[in-house]
Amino acid sequence: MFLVFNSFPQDNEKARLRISNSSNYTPISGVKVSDIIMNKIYTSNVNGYIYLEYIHYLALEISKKGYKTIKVYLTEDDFIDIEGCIVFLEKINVPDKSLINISEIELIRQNDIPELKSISGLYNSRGDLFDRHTMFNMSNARFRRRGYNYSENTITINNIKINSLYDGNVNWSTWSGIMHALKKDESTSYIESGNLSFGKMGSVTNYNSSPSNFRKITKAMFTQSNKTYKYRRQIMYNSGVLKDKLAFNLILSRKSSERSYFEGTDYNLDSFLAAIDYKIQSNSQINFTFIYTPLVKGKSSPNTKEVWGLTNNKYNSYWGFQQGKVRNSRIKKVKLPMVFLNYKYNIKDNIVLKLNILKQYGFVYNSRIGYNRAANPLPTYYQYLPSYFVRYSDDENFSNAYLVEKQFRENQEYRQLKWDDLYYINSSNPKSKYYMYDDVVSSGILKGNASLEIVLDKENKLNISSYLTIENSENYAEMTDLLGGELYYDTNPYSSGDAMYQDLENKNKPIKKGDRFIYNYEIESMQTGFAIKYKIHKYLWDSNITLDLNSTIYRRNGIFRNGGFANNSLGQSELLSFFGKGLKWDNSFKLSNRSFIKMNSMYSQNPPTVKTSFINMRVNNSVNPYHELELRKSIDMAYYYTGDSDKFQTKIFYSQLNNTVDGNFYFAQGLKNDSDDFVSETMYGINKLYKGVEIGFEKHFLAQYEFFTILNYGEYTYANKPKLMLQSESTNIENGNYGNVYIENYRLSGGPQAVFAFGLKYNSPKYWWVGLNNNFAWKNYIQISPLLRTSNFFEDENGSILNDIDRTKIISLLKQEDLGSSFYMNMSGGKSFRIKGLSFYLFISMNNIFNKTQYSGGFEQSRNANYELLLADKNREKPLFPSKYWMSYGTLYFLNLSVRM
Amino acid sequence: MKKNIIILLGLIICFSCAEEPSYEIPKHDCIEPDIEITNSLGQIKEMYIDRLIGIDQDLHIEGYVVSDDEQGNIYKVISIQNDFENPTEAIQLIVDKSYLYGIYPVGTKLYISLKNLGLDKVNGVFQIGYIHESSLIRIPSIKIDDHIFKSCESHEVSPRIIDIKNIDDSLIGMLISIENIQFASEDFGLAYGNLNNTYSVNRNMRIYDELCHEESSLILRVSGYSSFKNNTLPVKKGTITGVLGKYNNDFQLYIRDLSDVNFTQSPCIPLLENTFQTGIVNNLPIYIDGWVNFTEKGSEQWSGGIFRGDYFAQFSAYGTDEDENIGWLITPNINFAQTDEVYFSFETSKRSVDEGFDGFEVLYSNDWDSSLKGVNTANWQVLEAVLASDDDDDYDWVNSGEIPLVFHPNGYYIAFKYTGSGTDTKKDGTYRVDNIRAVVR
Repeated sequence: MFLVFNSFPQDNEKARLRISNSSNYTPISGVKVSDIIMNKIYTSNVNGYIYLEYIHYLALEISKKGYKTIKVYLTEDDFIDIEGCIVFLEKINVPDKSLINISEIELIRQNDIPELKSISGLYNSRGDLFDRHTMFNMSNARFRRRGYNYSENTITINNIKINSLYDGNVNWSTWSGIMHALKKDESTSYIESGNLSFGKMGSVTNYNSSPSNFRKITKAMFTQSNKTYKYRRQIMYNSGVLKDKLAFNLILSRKSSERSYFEGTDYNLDSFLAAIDYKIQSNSQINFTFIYTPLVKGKSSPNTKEVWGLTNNKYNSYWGFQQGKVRNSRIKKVKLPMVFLNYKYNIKDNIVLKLNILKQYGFVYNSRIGYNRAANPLPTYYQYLPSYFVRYSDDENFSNAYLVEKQFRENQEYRQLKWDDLYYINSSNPKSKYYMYDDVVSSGILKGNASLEIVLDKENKLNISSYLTIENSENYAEMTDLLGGELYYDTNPYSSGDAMYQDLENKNKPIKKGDRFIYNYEIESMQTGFAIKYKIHKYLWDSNITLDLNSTIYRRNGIFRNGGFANNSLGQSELLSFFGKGLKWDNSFKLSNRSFIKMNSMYSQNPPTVKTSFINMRVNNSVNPYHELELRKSIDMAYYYTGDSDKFQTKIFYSQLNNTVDGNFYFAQGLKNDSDDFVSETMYGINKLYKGVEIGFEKHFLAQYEFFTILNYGEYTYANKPKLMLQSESTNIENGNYGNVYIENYRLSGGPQAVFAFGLKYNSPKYWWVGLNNNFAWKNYIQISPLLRTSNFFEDENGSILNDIDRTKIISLLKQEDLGSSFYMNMSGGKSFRIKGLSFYLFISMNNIFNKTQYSGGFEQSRNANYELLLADKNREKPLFPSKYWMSYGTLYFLNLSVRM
Repeated sequence: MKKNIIILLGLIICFSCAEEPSYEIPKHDCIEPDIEITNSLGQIKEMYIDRLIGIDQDLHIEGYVVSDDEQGNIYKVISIQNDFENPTEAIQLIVDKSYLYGIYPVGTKLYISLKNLGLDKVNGVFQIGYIHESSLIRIPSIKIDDHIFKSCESHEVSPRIIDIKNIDDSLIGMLISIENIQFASEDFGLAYGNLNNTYSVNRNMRIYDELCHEESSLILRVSGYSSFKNNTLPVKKGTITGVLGKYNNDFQLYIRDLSDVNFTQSPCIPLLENTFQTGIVNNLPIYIDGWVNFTEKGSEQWSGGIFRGDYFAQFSAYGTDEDENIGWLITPNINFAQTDEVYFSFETSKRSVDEGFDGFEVLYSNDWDSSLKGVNTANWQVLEAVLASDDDDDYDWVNSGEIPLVFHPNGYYIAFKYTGSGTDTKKDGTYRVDNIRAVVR
């Protein structure tokens, strides 16, 4: 993520600014516009236009006799629209019947006020102040606004919701690297619904791929970084509107690195976008867009504190040397092209019809080493670590622990995957003991949206949109490399008898490269619905009310008969269907021309995701018996103030996300009947509570300086005692009910719940700028293990309560770990210059200047599932199954040079 | 303008041409370790002096691997023997590593460097391992490569065919085969291993002669982690192969996988067999499913007894203080086809039985309705058999001989009936019964 500079003026074109009257929108000529930094003065022409030569930043004083003088601070983002930017002046001593609220931060769209040709937005329409100063600066701390999962934010491209029915998330890798060819034409505040999309508790953002949005441009970009990729080259070409009929956009980019930030990870992303607009008639237009961004990247591992301490901050256990070459065992490949067909028809002056279709198809591959009746190949398996040798307090084998530790620290080959050894062990027999396979998801996605936007009159507007989503997938494991062996027999080494066979109908089939094995099933999911939004826009009051109704169905179709679930894996599962509905209502009240308060509220019942509806999708058709609608209730209140040179926003929010489901999959010991097993864990009926306050303040002083500060203080917790269910080979649903999970008031994990930041930026008249910001984050908690907080924790193998439980120990054993506070200082700067008719812009940023690395997130391991085991493990000086942590990045640098012609 | 575009385009490396990396299979050239053997396996065992010894001289031994842990029945043990064809010596190495079969497959020749290792006899078995705080532990994984070296040589190992009667300690750790062996009939229907948990179990194997008399037995040890533990024991006889082990006084065989069990011939299936080794508690009345323990008079019942590990059924009127003690121990129904040749046999012994006491009888009935009330109304006849008599010493087991049973459509019930008196010292001796068997020849 880096600042986007989309529309540089060309030599013969400058930034266009339009000055209009705030009460009747008529252009004002003869307005004096002073560029304070560059010390230049412009006067608006008869149409109210001014053409400015500009850098990335403008500080302007705008005045005319009879009007209130204003100061305005503009950046690139305000000129994104091809039409440029509009600023409004108020008349003095004239009763203010302004319908435009100067301090509104919403984008005002073309059709909102038909008299205006187009508006890109007012000078403070750069999106939410809070988002602007946290999204990039705090990415290292894994900050998530309001603690919501990313799936709470709805992303649409060409009005089509991109969030998947599978887990509600957006697969950014399928359209990464082409963002410059998309215009973000809508970005709502949290809770607010989008123009055509209801959304959830977060924001709704729409990206538009129409080339007509951009001015004619040819641009190239060269980037160097040390985070996920080292080099990036991008070229973008926009034809501009040709003969008033055609426009097209082309973008081609390549991000690559052989060694990314964490050891053994590589990255390769090729991005391609082609979009064509064709104006069929004066009032109708069709667009075709093709996006393909194939990605290949290596992953890195979360590690225990012991492993981080034995190695370094960039350690990754997933890779090793194969004959001297680096080979990562966990590679992700994404090949999911998207094709859009968009049609827009202005039926009348005040009715717009939009039809959008998206077809997406392709594959996602995630690779992994498999092993059967062989030692765990990962170098950080708990039995290979020094802690294992001192695990018995009365029998500590220090000398061997020391030998192992020495090897770990000093011998890189020892602490990485030993590929050559895996081939060697495979060579004793044509049956592979080690092999590489891919978890494959082959998707077929079809989505459509049809909408009508009707402007009833100056004050009332109605949007009706209906949508259809079909997401089907085939999911299976595919053998990719037998690592020197000739074949493999697919059995589950932890089961016996028929339960061993995962494809029971083909028990003894030898698996070769390209064959499917382990699991094979299809998911069919479909959602249809419609949303109606009614907008009222009055003098002192704005109100929007949105209603959404939808119907969703899911079904699993097993292709393999799994021996452990022979009667419940092959064929179709029951059909799950849900009826969802929601209502959103937001109101703004204008207090003065500079301030207003806003109240957003929502209530919705949403279907659970596919992922949480099937408990153990890989092996059986079992449906979560408690599949019910999730409930969302959210309300926030905000106060906005915009002064001449400063801006202030404060919000408080309160949200409940009820009856939701979280799932997990791991190996647990100490379950009922003293058993150990692989378990699929489902926690359901979870109520989550989010409350907090957000404050933001920005000030421009001495024309060239910008200062900001933001504060967010939140409390995001579990609000009830959910229930827990485990399913494994040895427990069916009846036995698998573990009852209540006592986690009420435990904090949700996933990022700091409190952040404070401030920063200063200097804009020089010599076409350069520099900025520094400081970010503090705290209240960051690790993910607790629900199994450890059920009554199973207090039971022995026969189900009776353990006798000698020390109450004080329980509190410390089960206390949720706070990862502590973190501090990051970031610096950035930019300079634009011209050489031989080419415009250059150089941007440099350095995140985390002081290279402070610490744990940014983590999770408790569920392996020791009862009091005795957990106490024994924690009493060890070096526990065997402590929590695992992700390490934040150290200093990240980013260098970007873009060239325009 | 166009020139600029072309220049820029040229700067972009081709699209989607990231090469799919291909990985070659690494080649391994085997280098034979240069190790001089100093001792035979037997010589090392002779070094033992009744307690754990550490080896500090630079000694080396060699052997061929016969153990295989792939299917989970063998765990963290490498058994080696001195030859792949006619082995005479074998020994066990205990190592802290799993899935040894991948690194040391059966037939691999190993050289072992014994310096700084230890030798101990654990539960009757010699083991080479690592010394830690005065006890023998498995050689730590990080040290294995300091002591165990693979030769480039490997051979197919043929198991040594052994007669059970000749099994002795020298065979422990060796790959042996035993012919004409089957599972004991009381184990028929069981699975190889423990289905409910991961504890190991013993399974009883027997060799029978032509008369289906038990000649010898051997325990099969099956781990709760073995992949085949769910499979049912085959009801056939044949040859079994495995690595010989021992636990204190009992020899145990460890198969590596189900291909070690080659049972193809018809076994001896006793129609009825009870050695009383299971389900019996010393001095408590006998409750065995299918058998009837009926007390006609008095309160004394047929009860369990044990002597030196051998369980049996016994009845005694001694000390009951009752005038009449009559107890019946009746077998389940023995039925068979008209074409079957069936023989019944058992063993009896006595203790303190007065001369002339005739209160112990072995009877049969073809018309008992199997109810307790019906015992006295059924038609019982004496089964001609050799019983422990005055001529026999106390406690000596006397075989009844092979008693042919003539076909009867209702089958047979055989009863062991004791009629005595607790108040008459001439009628209060003890009779014992064991190894009751009906076989089809």
